[in-house]
Amino acid sequence: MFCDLCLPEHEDLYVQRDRLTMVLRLGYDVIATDHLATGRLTPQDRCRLQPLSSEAILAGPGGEQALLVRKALPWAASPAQDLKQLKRLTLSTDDPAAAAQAFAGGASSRAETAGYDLLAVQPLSERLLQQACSSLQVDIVSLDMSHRLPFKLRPKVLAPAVDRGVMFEISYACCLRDDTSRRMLFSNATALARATRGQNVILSSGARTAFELRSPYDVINLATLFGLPERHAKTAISTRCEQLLAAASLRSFHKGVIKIEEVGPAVNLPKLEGSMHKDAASSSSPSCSALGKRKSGRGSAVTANAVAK
Amino acid sequence: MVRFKNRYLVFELIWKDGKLDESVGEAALLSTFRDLVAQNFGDHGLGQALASLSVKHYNPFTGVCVIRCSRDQAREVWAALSMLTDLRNRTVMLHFLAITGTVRKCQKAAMDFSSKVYPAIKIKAKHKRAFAEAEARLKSMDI
Repeated sequence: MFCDLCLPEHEDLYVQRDRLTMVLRLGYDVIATDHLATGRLTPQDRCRLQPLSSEAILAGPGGEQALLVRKALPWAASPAQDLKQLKRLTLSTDDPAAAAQAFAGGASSRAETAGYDLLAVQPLSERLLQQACSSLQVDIVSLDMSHRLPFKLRPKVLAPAVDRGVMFEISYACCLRDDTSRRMLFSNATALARATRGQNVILSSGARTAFELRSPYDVINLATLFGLPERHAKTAISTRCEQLLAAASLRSFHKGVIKIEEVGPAVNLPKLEGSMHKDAASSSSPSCSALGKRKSGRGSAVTANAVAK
Repeated sequence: MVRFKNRYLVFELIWKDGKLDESVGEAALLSTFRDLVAQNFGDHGLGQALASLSVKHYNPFTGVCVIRCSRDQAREVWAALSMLTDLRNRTVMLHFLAITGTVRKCQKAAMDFSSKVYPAIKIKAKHKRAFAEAEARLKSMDI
């Protein structure tokens, strides 16, 4: 199962459709559309990303062929209809206070971050990099590798992130745009691979158009040239991304273990006389009319998921 | 002395405009690939790869392309090829399908792919000969 956890958001839905067609053709199973916020989070950064339906993707030009190619690939794990489309927020800032405010207490605590499946931070200063590695509640630390980084990547600074399971991201699409970015990408990615010893690195595209995507094995091969050990290069685009997604989904749980879920469709009781009569009367009021959507009291159940720690 | 070993890379060329251009053949692809290796790995990289780098097969109708290179340089050549973005001012990309150590396996990979993706390909009468020739080249490919 291969994942591409960074497709920058694009207003044009046709571009998004073309990219998703290409993603299917190359044999990926999970993608994340990325909303980039700069400075600090504002109400405009609330999640408005919408996944495209698989019919819409396959109806576009090249859709049928993409499906055929996908079937011929030995590594495409799931059928095209099961492409998982996630939403991701990246905050690009140099201010530790703004970042701490944005990601305080995980995803569900603020309206701006609530709708997203993945949270990422792009630190532009060394202080924020330190904070992101040691304490910030994010899933991914994304570094803009097409330019010279404003800090050095030291193993000591990055070590807490490796312990906490925060991932560092390498986006490869910038190396297809121009020579300078390609050089900087190789330089920065090699430094990152050295500082983390290949642990906790994930690979993503960052592709603005369909033709900036590459096949998973192309990316793995490229990663071995960044100096990632071979055994880490493949996990960086597959297993490790899945681990990241599993960890990120736990964030919506209370303390990572308990989640309050709605129970399935409620059974309608026949109207009874006496004490039950009150309930039946209240259920006809608009606030409780949909029995299946009861949110509190007897309508909810507490599910406890044991987390291996 | 150990026998010199090759790797065969099977790719699919995806053209953005989807048009057929018969003038792009194996020779044109080879010169583009050489430029790419030179651009990314310099004279030293190209010099090492040059002796065995060749395009063994390209079918313009299905886009399947087989490239031979020496085993030691396979990773560099592969990385250089994945940097391909345009060819004769048309946007194009290479989609990796397989890497094999023998001719037979790469023939199988290429044939399997084209038979699965183009089970009933329709070729215009004027292109039939070129298509048959390309297929024959794949079948008769030797070391």
